[in-house]
Order: sequence, then structure tokens, then C-alpha cells
Amino acid sequence: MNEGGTRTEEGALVERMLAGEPHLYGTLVERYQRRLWWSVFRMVRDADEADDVVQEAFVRAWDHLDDFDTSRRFYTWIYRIARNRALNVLRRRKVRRFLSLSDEESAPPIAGPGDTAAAVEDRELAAALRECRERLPEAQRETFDLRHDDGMRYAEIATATGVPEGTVMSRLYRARERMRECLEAKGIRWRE
Amino acid sequence: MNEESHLDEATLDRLRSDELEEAERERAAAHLEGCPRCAAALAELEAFSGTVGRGYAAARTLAAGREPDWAAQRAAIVERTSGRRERSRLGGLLRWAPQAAVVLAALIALGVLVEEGVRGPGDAERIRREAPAPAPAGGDREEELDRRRAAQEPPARERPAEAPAPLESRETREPAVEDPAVPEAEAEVEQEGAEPEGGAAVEPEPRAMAKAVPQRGERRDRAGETPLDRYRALASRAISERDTLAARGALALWRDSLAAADLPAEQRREGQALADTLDALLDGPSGGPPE
Repeated sequence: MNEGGTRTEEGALVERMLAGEPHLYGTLVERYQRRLWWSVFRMVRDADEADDVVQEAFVRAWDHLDDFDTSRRFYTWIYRIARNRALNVLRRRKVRRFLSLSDEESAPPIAGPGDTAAAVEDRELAAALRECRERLPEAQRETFDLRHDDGMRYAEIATATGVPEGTVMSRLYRARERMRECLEAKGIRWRE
Repeated sequence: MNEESHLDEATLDRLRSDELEEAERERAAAHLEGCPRCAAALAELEAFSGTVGRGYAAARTLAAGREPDWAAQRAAIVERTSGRRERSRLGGLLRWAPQAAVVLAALIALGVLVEEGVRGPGDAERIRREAPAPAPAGGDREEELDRRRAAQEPPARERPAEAPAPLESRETREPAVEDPAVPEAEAEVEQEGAEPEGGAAVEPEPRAMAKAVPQRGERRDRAGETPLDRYRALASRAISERDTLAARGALALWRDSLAAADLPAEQRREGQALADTLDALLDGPSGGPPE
């Protein structure tokens, strides 16, 4: 995998955009908009704000396309742009909360009428995962999400979060330990 | 096998996702074959990751109704980015404003030199004297008039008024472009006076305008202005008005005029090199990686 090596397929795509084929940007947007939205949504827990952040990130990435290192993955780069914006959303939200202008996050319902056993199990698993993740320190939670939900590689996580790879390893190790303990306490089983 | 030689979780995890270097991967694989403990740890990690992955997927399913309309989101992004590349490059130009000012000054100077080539050394000397110099104080002006009388020269022709506005002064109109990756609250400061400026820019039609480039032997219009003068002035004005498209068009026409003018090859090459430099400035500086 290429995180800082030769030019990637995406790098070639970006170079074509810069050379006069701007319509190709739609390809990158389509490729990553869902993944990016979910990553942002995980952070901000608000669909509209996640949508705003994703749009802003793609627009900003476009404006700075000249700065994109074509040896890297586009998603890692745009994730980092979106992450900065999402962190700003969270900062503003903290201010609003501090000023009592807003806004308790609502958890999804655990079960609905007519759910199958599998659906109930999924809901329970999703709820447990959500609750356990929220107990993690922010940096560990982000690292855990990027690894286990986004499937990012260690080097990509390091780039996306701006820390050394060794820090990614230690954050992941601690996050997994806490998540194992928390999920087991909630009755989630994965061991044989 | 002693305790210290067991594989740590990061190694097992990166082995799963094929992130290990070849030598490290071979060592890990060889170790796993003879170590039930590490094999069990790998199996546990696989199962844990699978369960967590199902949890994320379930959360997605549950929140599916909160997803945006992807096509509408894409359309909004495409709409917001269309037409911004030129503006972004213009932002790049403004980052280079001081250098651009120097190059523009050189361009104007070259214009004088080009005229020198066209009209002969005597004329060039006259043009330099006629340039709108700072108003001379009293006696200096009289001396100038005396010199002109002595040389039996006609009265000074006013230089075109469209000398470019100093770009440095315009730089403040466009916020500095910040590193998009800097995770600071300052990133909130929007650089975009984002919307296109209200219709001020008129895109030139290079082909149609190119027809107006006079051929050799008909270089000056009735006002005594050469195509080189005219397109240089157009380029200067477009750049000072931050109209990248018009600037490109005018530069292209200036190149055509340069090619058509009866100039020494060296002067033509210098002019083309200058136009290349300006074009590159319009493209904006090439940046390094954001991280």
C-alpha cells in the first residue's frame, strides 16, 4: 500500500484534474462521500452538520488540490480536512452547551416493534458499541474507529491524525483493551 | 519459546491486513506455526474485529434514514467547486503578488524595449523620457522642456493610464490561504469571498481577438498604439482586477503580437519567457504536501 511512496491511481486522477479535466473530481466525490460522511457523523452525531462538513471538506480540498501529495491516498488527505472541520463543529457545540443553548444527543432506540431476533441482536450490538466507544478518550476512539470501521492502515491513521505510527499502536492497544472489557460487561460475546 | 518472543497485538493486526514488510511477515508466519498462544490471540483478534465490524454495520443500518441524499450532496459539491479552480489559482497568484509585481514591472519595461526594437533606438529614448515620471520640481521641468526643444522633439505623448495597480495593495483583499490540514479553530476562517465576483470579468474570446492582431507592416492603430501595448495593458488590467481568465486571454494575445512583431529574436524570446512566467504565476505556486 502506498502512503508516501510512488504516485497512486488517485494521484494520477488528481494530476489529470489539474491539467484541465476538472469534471473528474465528481469521481472522487462519489468514491468517498459516503465513507467520509459516516466518519464525520461518528464524530459530530448530527446528520446535517456531517453533511455540511463533508461538503466543505470537498470544496476545500478542491481549492487546495495543488497541495495534494499524489503519492498519498486521497481519502487520508480529505479525512484530515474534514476532521479539522468536525473538531470545530464540536468546539462550537461545547460552547453552545456551555451557554445552555443546546442540545442533548439522542441515542437510537434499542428495539422497535416487529424486530426479528437478529435485528434485536444487531440493535443491542450497535448500542453497546456506541456506549463503549463513548467511554473511550477522544483520541483512542478516533483511532479505534479509523481502524475498525474505516479499515485504515496504521500508516494512514498516523497521517490522518497527525501522530507517529507508534502512537497509533499504543492508542489502538489501549482502546481495544477497554472495548473488550466494556463489551463483555454488556454481554457481547465474540470469543469461542 | 519464551514470553518475550510472542507476537504483539499490533504485529498480529498488521499481519491480518497485510501491512508487514516481507521479512517481518515471514518471521511472524513462522512464529505462528509453532505458537498456539499467538495463534489463539490472532483468532481472538479476528473474532473481536468481526464483532465490532458487525456493530458498526448495524449502527449504519439503524441510522440509514439519517444519511443525506448522496446524489444531491454530490451535485452541491460539484456546483460549489465548478469555476473555483480559476479563482483558487488567482488566490495563488496573490500569494505571489510581490513577485508578480516585479514581473509585471519587467513586462512593462520589456514593452518599452519591444517598442525600442520596433521603432528604433531614438524613439525608445524618447519613450523613456516621456514616461510619466514623478512630477519634477520647478527647475527640473524647465530643464526637461529645454532638452526637448534642443532635440526638436514633439510634445510628450501621454503614456497609457492602465499601468497595473500595485498587486501588493490588493493582496489584503484576499485572505491568506491557510494549510487545510491545520486543526486549529482558525481553520474556520473562510477564505472564500467564495462567490464569483459579480459579473465583472468578461472572458475574452481568444480566437476572435486573435484576428485583430495586426500583421507586420500594420503594427500601429490610429492612436499610435501597437498590439503589444494594447494586450500588455489588457493583461495588466485583468491581473490587477484579479480576472484570471481575461489575464490568460490577454497574455495569449500578447504572445501572438510578440510573434507577429518585427523584433530581434532575442527580444522575442525574452518576451515569451516573461509570458510563460506570468502564466505560471496565474497557475499559482506548486505546494508541498498538506501534512
